[in-house]
Amino acid sequence: MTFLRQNLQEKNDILSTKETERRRIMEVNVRKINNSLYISLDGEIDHHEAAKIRDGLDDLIFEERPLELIFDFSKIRFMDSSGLGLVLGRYRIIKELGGSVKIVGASEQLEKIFIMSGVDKIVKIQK
Amino acid sequence: MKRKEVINSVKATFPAISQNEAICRSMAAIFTSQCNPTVEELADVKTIISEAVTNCIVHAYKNAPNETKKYIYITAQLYRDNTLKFTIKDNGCGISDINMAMQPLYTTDAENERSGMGLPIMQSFSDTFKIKSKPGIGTTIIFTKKISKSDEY
Repeated sequence: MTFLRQNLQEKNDILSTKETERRRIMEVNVRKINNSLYISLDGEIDHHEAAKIRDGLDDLIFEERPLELIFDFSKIRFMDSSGLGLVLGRYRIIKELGGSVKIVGASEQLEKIFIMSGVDKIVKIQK
Repeated sequence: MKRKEVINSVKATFPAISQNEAICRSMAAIFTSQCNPTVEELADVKTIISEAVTNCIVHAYKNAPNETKKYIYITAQLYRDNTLKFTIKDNGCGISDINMAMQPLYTTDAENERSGMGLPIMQSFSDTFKIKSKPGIGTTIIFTKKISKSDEY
């Protein structure tokens, strides 16, 4: 368990992109709660940021093999269709592993984008 | 008083690199803020600009030869009736089938997790939306968004 915690901490350090601390665009924090990975995102999701966090997240998913991914979007100030790609890409991976994806805390604007693209039909969106 | 008179404008040129996605939409947000937009209107403009600029980077200049000058040209205009008009232009590969590209979930770049929702989102969030594209020459996106007026001044 300690190993696991260390492992998560290391990954968190990598994901939180230390080099942009002054102009903090995106911060990622991952916690493991039972069989779920709780992924808390803080910042703006565009193509530039999504590309940076994708690989780190996938490494974690394959290591931890969670049954559920929970994306906490309550601190996301902006998202475009790159965010859809980020969620759908992780959905495909977790589906292979027999799990599911949930989104919490999405603003009205984010919800509009999720509903428009039909993501809400395969991913649970909780207020 | 002409309703369609341009009362303010800005032109900007950006190298087609991904860190400019955030800078372009911030610039558009600053230009939009003079119209006193609602939170939703401002977010819509930022989203459209972000999608358009991303398209230039991930599609238009994707396979461009090294000697190509990879720039994104943005103009913003404000009309007297509080309508904003933006054009986003590139000199990239162009779109061979615009109708296909407009289809929701259609993408030519699934391996990089492009969702195929960029153009449909842009169309849905704008009031008028036009794509002009010629393969090998480039693409121009023109959209307008009328910002509601909270009070006359």
